[in-house]
Amino acid sequence: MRHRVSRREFMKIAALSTAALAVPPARRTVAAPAVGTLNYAEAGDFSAFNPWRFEAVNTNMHNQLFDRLTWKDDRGRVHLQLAEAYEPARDGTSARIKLRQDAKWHDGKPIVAQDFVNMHGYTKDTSLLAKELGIRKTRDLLAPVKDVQAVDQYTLVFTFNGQVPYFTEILDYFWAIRIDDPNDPALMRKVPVGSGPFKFIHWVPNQYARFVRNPDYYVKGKPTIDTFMFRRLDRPETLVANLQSGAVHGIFVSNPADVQQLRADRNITVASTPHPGSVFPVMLNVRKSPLDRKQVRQALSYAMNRVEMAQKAFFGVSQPISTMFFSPTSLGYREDLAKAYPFDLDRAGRLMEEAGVRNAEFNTIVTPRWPQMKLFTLIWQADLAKIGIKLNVAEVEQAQFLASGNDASLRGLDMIPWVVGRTTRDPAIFFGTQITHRGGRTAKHGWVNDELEKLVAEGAAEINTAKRRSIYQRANEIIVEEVPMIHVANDPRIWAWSTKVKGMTTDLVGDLTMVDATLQS
Amino acid sequence: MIRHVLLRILHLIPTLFLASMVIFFIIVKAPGDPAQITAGPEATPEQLAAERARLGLDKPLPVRYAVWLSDVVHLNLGYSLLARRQVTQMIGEAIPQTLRLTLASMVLSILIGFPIGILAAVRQNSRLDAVVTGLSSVGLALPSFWLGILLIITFSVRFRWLPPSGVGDPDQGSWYNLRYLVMPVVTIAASNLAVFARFVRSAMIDALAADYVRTARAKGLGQRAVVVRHALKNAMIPVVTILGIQFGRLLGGAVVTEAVFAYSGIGRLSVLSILNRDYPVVQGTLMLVVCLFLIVNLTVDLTYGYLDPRVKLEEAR
Amino acid sequence: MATSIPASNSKKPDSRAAVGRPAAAVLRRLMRERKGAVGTVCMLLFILVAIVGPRVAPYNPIELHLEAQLAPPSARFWWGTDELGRDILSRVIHGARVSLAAGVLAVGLAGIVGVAGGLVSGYLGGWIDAIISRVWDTLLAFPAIFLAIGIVTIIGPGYLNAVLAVAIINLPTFARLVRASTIALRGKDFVEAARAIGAPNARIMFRTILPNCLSLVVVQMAIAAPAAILVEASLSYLGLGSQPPTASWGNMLTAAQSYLYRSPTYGIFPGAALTLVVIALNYFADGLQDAIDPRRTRAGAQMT
Repeated sequence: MRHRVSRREFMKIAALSTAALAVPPARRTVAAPAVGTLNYAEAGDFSAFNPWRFEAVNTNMHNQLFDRLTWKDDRGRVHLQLAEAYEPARDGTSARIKLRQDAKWHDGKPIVAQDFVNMHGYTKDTSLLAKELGIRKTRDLLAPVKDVQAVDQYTLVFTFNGQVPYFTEILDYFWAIRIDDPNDPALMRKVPVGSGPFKFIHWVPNQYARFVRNPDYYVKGKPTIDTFMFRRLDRPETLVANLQSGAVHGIFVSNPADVQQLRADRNITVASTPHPGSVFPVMLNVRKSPLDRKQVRQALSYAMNRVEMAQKAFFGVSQPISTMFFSPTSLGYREDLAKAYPFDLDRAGRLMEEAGVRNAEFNTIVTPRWPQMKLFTLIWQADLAKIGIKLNVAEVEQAQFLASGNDASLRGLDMIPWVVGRTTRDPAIFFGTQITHRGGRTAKHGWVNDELEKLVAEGAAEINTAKRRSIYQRANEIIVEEVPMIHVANDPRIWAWSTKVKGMTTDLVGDLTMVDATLQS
Repeated sequence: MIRHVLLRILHLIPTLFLASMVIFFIIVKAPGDPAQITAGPEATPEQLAAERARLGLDKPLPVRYAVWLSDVVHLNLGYSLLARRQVTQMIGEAIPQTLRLTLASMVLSILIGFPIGILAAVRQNSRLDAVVTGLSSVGLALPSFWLGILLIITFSVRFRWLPPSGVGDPDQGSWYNLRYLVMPVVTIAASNLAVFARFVRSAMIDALAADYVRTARAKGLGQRAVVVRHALKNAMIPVVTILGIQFGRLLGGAVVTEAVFAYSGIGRLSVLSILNRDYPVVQGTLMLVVCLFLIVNLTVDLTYGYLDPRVKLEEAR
Repeated sequence: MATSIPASNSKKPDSRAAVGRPAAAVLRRLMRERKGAVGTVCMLLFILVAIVGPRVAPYNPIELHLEAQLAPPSARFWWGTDELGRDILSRVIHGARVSLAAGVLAVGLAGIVGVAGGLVSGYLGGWIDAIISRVWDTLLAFPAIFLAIGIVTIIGPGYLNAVLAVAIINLPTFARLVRASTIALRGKDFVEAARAIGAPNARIMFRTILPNCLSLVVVQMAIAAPAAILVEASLSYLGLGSQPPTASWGNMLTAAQSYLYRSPTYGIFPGAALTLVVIALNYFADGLQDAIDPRRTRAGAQMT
């Protein structure tokens, strides 16, 4: 006779086992975070740990994990890092670099000249180039470099294709990396090996990446922070809450709507880079009709009320811009171009008529990572509707957004808002590395302009500053006239920190540098 | 008995197969060339072809399906397209989080819903009953994303007592991290509680009204004895059913709540991977969810049949 | 999806009660119970708002008032404004149309296709039944919200696609309901009679059997509608429903969550509207169920 568990017993057992399972598993408990743990939070998540990828979501980990030969601080002064000495040749066609001999990779191997030769080799490796966007970007960065030789174990010689007076600007983007697994050029599958002040411990996607102090760092006594917890928050609006509640010590402000509130909080310091070189352009699919017609593109630009967008979509933290060379410090700056395309719906309408385009309909996307994009796109949508142009906006997740933007034909979209950097660097660097603003074979979205390509090549080889200025001003003029992308506003990088954190800086690239930071308990 | 169980399990297998086919075809139907994604946009046509061969994309569909299915059975779920990590690893990290959430909600629903339901049934049509019924109507209707937002407004924005999102700080102990569970658990439990309380109440009412209870009352047994002994036992049957069904639904219910609180469980992993077109992760999580769902539903059915032999005979399937 | 579980353990649908019940009597019984009356009245009010509201809304829902971004409720904007200065009250009113239409369309579509499927598989039986039932089984293997998200991901986001997805996840319930009814009814005398006089199968299914389970289908539609509205709102919340600038209660809540700290009241109104609609519809469905079959014991619980 089988024993039937009575219902009462059954219920008791079920209840007890359920309750038992609900108790959270005991974890290796640390009562309170070690005093040297700094919690820093940003929205979104890492798309790669290879700094060469240079994507906006990753940039603030670059200087923590990786070092460069030389770098420029936010005042433009050159500092030596992995290099002990930097000797440009008199004729400007090469540079000799002596490496410091006490620098090591995070796994203990010493950093030698051959490592840099290997890095140059990555940019020539077709399989790596095909797999990883960052390798392609660095190939473009190092285009003026003909050859890299290891003269001896700690001495490097870079030879150039002509004269390159701005080589230190190139080195500013040339972090020292090691690709140990050719199937993992993004450095995401295994622990990325760098040489910076912090070592990578592990990454829990959509949650955090944990870095700890590099005990063998060649700068003695630095860094002072033991653990750098780089948290990723999926909801950008919770960044401010986390900072104000003390759950994190610092955040990268992703929604300009929050700045006002942060500035008003006395326990918080708001800091931004003095040379914000990033801008928000709307990239146009110039191969797709009717955007292949210049008048249509110009019309769209006239229909953009940048002044209002700067106030309402960017909450006053950005300035409206009509060109990428908006800063008077740039070699390509020209006052009339900086004021191009004032808001004029009538003119926009007339241009559309001239182009013979009626009932135009365009498709674009936005993503939560940049709430400013959604706001200015919707303001634009409303204005475009007034002249009979329909703009369809869809909101997508970050990964899809990046994939569409990185695709040559925007995956069928007509346009996409984007972020482009380095506009305040030497224009040779800007044009050399930003394929968004080129008109040749490597142009990102297929815009062709032979004159621009000629000017870019000339400017890279020219050493006379006055001549360079006229070259880049003409390049500026071409882009403004042809409008292959519509510039909206600049993108200041803004951080908010608890007053307990001191010593954090940014470099000229605009990336966070925590090597000198201290945390008060 | 064993035969019955085995038969039911066998019955599951074709469904599982069909569901796996649907899941497999998501990748096939989806736009975008997986080889292009892994080889990169600058791959030459030869490199693309090589990548396609490497991924097995050039084989006919049934073969690809068979290969995929055998991989799944061997728990080789591939690599995420975005995170480049093993899918099994990502799922392994997400499941415990969702389990904590689901079980805690379940416990809360039972602890509160059960006594409330019984009380309301015992005092049927009283003011307490009206309140309970009214509140449960609200609880059922409350969209979880709205309740979540309201909780965040109250406890994170206004009072700053609780963190508005996330699963917690790995440096802190389990007790500290409980504060990240509070609002998500309450959000999920709210609707579960409503269903559960209602169910317990109606099951109790039925049981109390049953003939033999009336007979027992007529015989003069005290109210409490009547309730405890007879009605409660019979009320258990539908209650156990609803418990099981709710557990299965919790998997789905957690999806939106995990999105609201950016809580890194399996719900959020599947939603994000679906939205990001990260197909290997989508397939892995959907297979897991479907298996769990089917197993839970089967267990519920079997338990129901075990507890109430009348139902087994009546099954018209 | 949502099914009503009678407190009594009978699994057979009691369709005899629905035969020959005039609609007027049902209506009378519906309005007599307080819950049913309240539910019906509120539901009609919401439908009124959905139909007429957009015409009387104070502002155009997509009109920007950038000088008043994220403004709190005031005399000018009764419920405040959103991040682009659009009037929240007007957007909520327009959202009513979106949500209610989604509920009606999804449930209607599911009803029509599900009924057809159920009739066919119940009446014809055999391998047709086996195949069709397998389809429902496969659909039911996925938790509803996953299936909905998956469908929308394949066919693309948008209002109509979301409605289609919600319809699909409701199909199995209707189909099974009608199938069970059909199986129960096909042996009955009046069906035998129809067969005897040589009526074609389609006629028997749709003219003879269907009217007898119609009330069950109608009740199921009423029960499924609020759940359908909630699923569409969830899809919208996840960004898979109506796209900007169209206002839907779901995507208003998504935006509200981004600005919780600047404007705590933003998220209250769309969510409250959604909740009230669902409560009203639930009451209506409960009331309708009781009105159609008063012999059924009350307090049928619902599963979402």
